[in-house]
Amino acid sequence: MSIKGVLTALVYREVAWLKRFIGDYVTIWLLPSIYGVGIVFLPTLMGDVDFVLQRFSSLFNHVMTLTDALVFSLSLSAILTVVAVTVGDVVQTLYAEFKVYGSFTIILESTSIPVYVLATSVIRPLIMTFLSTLYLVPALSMLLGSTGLSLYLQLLAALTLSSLVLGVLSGIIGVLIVFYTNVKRPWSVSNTIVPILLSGSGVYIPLQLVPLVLRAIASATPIPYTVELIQLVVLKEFPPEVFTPLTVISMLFTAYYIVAVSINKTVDTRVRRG
Amino acid sequence: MKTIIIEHLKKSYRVREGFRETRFIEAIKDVSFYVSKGEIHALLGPNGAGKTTTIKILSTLLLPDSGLVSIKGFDVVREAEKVRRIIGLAIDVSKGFYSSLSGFENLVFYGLLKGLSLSDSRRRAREVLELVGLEELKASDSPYFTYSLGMRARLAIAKALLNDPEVLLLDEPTLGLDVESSRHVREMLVKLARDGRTILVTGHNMHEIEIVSDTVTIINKGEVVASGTPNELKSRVGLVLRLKVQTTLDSEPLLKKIIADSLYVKRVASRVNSNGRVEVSAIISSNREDVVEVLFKASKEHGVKILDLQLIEPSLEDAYLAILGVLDEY
Repeated sequence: MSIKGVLTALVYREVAWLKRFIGDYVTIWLLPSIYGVGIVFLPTLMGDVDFVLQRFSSLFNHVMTLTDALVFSLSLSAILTVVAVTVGDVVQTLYAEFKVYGSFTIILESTSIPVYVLATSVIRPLIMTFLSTLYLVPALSMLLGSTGLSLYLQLLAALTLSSLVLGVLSGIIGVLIVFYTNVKRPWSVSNTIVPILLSGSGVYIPLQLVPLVLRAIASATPIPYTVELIQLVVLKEFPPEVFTPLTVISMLFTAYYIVAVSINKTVDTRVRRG
Repeated sequence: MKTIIIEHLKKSYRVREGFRETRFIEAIKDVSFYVSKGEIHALLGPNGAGKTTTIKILSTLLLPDSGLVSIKGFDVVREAEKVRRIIGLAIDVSKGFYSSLSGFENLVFYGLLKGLSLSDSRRRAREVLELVGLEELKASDSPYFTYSLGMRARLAIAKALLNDPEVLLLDEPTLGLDVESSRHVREMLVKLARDGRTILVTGHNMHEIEIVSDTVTIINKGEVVASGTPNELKSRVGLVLRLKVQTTLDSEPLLKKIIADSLYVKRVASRVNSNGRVEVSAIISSNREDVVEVLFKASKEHGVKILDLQLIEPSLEDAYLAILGVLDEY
């Protein structure tokens, strides 16, 4: 069957789910924004706002105003949402389809596992990244005026690229959990992976405080490079240095894509052999 | 014209035991049969006989180890894509859909996966939901998790019909259905076959299978043990009639002797009922007229009292059990 058909089917299913669970989704999308702003401004409990802005300015080697700090914290919150939504959704949906709903029969009788898993790994992050970061449009517009929209589009591009890599990586993790392990509670795996990736990328706390092993794990994902990209886009207005993290993210995408195709083909043969 | 052809099909499963040891289970040792166009063919057998594996191979879900399997001339291994376009599958009717999506949404999703356009998927989904009676039950827009087993089975059949397939593969489509739903499904199958569709169906309800199927293949332990029309199977195993006569205690020995001497009897037995009557039962290979004549003669000429009489035609179930060698003759 055509890849177009599979992609259309997945978009249809996502939209149907979205309509049914819109309240849940909006909550999941908005909570990280409060959390993101909270992380940045938590130190104001101990000192005043100027103190926090000074510390931030020295940390990022860039003089920050209150607006800058708010824009940065909101932008950073988007990555929390994207990582949580992408990893959790892709892993858990694959698990549910193959182990709970039994809907894999529909998939196997219509298409192949490589096509389906890769399409899921791409479609879900694309839709979810766009929808889960929509709150940035009014937020950034209020803070920056007309340039807010332009910044949002740059952030969206960076986050979309990052979520595509995460989606393919989550597809690999999901397939490994479903077909090569006896894990009965996949959400416990995805719920563990998300904080490891985020903290290892320096999203929650300064990287210097993060154990090396977490940093090493996170460095194999696009998140630290996306954080770097967001810093550059927000604080330095798209300097030429952005091409370094962009290149690394693209290379990661290629590498994970090759691994995913190979694993999914093996799994397809294995499943059809019984 | 042979629509489904299965020749010398073999399939083993590899079962891992511990870290190193692997064991092979032969699910299908050697299965061959064919199904003609417009025919309802029933694939019967006990649990674990290989019925579902056969259906899965035909529907391209599983790869065979060896043998030829084709549908409308398309090989299920080499031309899997073409096979998928012409078949409709209902397997494990109790699940297989997204629980939070409605029946309609599940079908549209499936239609899109199968390559239909969005408008065609929506139109066909409504048509087949109406056909299986789910529109009538106002259930097509409710989430799947609210469906009863009967509604789930109907949705599974609706899914099988969505792409207007020429060949239907149905694995126990009436499993767990209430009487009305089962009847609805049976009538639908007959109608679909009349419209020219070829149907391969499995099941354990012999009464249903006997009503709907044109031909039957019985498999056991991965091998075909019998094949033919239900009537052919019945006569092949020599089952003609099951006789039950109620008589008095005095007449019992004589009646048993007459039956045993005058008819081709495989087995004759008797037991005393709670009402004090004796029930003599026998499995008889003679024809119906001979049995009636002997019983009238016994009554008229020998004074045997016949209080009640039942002459039961053998069913497909009897033939099936006899073929599998587990028929309880009494």
